[in-house]
Amino acid sequence: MPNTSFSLYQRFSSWISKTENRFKWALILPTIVLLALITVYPTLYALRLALSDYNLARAAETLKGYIGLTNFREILRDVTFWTSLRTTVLFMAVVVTVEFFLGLVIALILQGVITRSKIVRTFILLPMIMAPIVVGLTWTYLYQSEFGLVTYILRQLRLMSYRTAPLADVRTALPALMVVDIWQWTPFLIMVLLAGLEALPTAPYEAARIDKAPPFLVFRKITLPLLKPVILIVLVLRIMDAIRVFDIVYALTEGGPGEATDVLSMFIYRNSFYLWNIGKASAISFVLLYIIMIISVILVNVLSRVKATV
Amino acid sequence: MKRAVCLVMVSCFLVFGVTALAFGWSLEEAAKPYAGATIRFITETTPPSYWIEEALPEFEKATGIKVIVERQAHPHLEEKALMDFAAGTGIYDVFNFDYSWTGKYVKAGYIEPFDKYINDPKLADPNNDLKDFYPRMWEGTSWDGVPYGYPFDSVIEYLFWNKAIFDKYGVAGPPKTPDEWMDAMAKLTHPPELYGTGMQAKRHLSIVCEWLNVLWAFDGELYDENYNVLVNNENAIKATEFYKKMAEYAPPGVTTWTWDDVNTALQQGIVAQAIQWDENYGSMEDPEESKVVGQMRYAPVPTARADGKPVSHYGGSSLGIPVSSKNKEAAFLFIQWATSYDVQLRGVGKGSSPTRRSIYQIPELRAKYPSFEATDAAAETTFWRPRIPEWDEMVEVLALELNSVVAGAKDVKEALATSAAKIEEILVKGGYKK
Repeated sequence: MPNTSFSLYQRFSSWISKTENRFKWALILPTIVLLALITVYPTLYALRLALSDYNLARAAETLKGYIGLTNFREILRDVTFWTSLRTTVLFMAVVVTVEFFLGLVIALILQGVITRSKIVRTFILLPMIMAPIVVGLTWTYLYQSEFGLVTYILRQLRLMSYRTAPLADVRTALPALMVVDIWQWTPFLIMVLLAGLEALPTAPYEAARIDKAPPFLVFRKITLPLLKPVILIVLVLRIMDAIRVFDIVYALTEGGPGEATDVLSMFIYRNSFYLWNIGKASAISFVLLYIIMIISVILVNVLSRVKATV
Repeated sequence: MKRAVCLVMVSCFLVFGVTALAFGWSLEEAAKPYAGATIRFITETTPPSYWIEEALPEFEKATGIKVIVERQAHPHLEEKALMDFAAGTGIYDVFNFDYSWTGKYVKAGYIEPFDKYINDPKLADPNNDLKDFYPRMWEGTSWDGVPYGYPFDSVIEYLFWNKAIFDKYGVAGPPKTPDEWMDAMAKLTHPPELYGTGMQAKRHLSIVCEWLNVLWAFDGELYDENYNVLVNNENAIKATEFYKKMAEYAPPGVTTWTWDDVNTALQQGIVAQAIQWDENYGSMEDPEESKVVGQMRYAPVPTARADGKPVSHYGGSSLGIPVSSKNKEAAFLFIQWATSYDVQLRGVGKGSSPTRRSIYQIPELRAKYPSFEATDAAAETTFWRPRIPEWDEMVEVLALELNSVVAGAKDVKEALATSAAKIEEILVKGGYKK
């Protein structure tokens, strides 16, 4: 009697060697199917919605169905869209810049000193691993107009009058949200930049030491160029995240006071869940998606050309 | 002979009487076919919802129907409900809807007309006096004369004023005219311990509701019966200037406050008065969370109206049945129970916000809860906001513009002009106005 299992194994391995290419695809297939289900299908569905007159609060027979680019035209004519786009870009620009410089400075300070301490690592990671809604609620209390700690300190330092509060004033609400984002996401920059710093080759530094190069020069001529790829990756990630910011805005201000903190995600949310205009909301989501895509493509292109060179 | 006739009559009466009792309507009997059913009740996080949850075991015991209560904040209630209704999933069986949503849900075909249940002798309790519901609340539940539920929560917005604080500072209350009102606010502002008024001035439905009171008090209207927009006329400008000035006597940060924050401030005695929803009367008298037990008094919003009509704002809600529900009869029995005289009465002080006139007229309750007299008086005359489906869009516009005014980002005329233009556009788009 032939050994079936052996012959099966033989047939299987010969199938593999002959059709290695096919086998690769077989391994990737589950992922492709999963991706198609959870990203491609919803995206196409959202595109269909964006091109149609679809409002949850209206009777099905009063809806016009496919309306082409009407939703997009309506958005571009909407003043609120442009103000929220401006607010979003401003928010993104400020938080990413501050987070990057803070992150880099702290990473340089911490480098080699306490990175191996688990406690320090945990503390650094804490804001990042907190659920966004918890972050939002915590800061709501810190900014509270009567007994909020931050409000109290600002008043003691005479930086804020008793007639107002951080989230209640159109001038301070957006900076207040920026502070929360910076508090929450600088640790991410610290951790990634630290990992990058620790992975740098030691040889250039030794050469610099022998040449007695001043620290600033070492940083500018060795550390920064070597770190470039890492820097670009974290910037891409943070920019994409910051443009989509929603949770802290929703938890702290819901876009108010006035339009001061009206970011694009909040605009999408209001159109879908206050006005039930799912068609228009989907269209805005696509606009947001395109904005993120354009920025990412540019940055990724830059990234692919950058090499860590000294 | 006469005695014999009498005896026969009496015995007939007794026999019929007893039979009538035995075969009369009872919740237990009516619920028999639905025992074991589970219904899901989606409601707002309001005091009456808490009371129903507390009283629920008795309903479940009597009927064998299990009820799951899902409480949501005002905007999220609709978010969940609409998703379910639009998809026709049938997750929810009982729906607590604001009267300003009635048109939207009826027109979209999402909620059941109620007459078929009211006229079903097997389901409807013959002793349920529907005339006892306040006419305005019954009207709010109805669309084109057809009821779509039973009024559940009397929510009327008027002035809550703290008599102890007014007395302490020698201010006569309640203020009757806008001038007296502003004067009282000024005299009662002693920061940071005490402020002249609370305000619900967040960019939220709350600011629109609160401001409407002031608008009406100054003889303003959103639009007239022919849908001509009036939000930027002289009265509206005066009203909004007044509303803006109120913020000078309100605690810092009222541009982030809704009705919840106002309630806490009233309970803590941080503000001497505020416009607030009457359903919160019980929380003022709860010694565990209130520092102002026995001090709160209630009055119409001070007015300068030419017709002298007292101003308050009706914002009540009703319980209805979604078309997509799979347990409609069980849902009706629950709604009938939850809005019954008995359940509303027993919940007084525990969250119940009755919608039946007879409860507000019980002298002992009036003595214990001063809001009862105010609500009873207001229920006849209260103003209300538009009920057309486009109201949501107008709320969005007004919430942003009014909040910008109070936050100092826009001046009154500019904000009202923008509001008027946008509301005009909404009305034209909705086909109300050519």
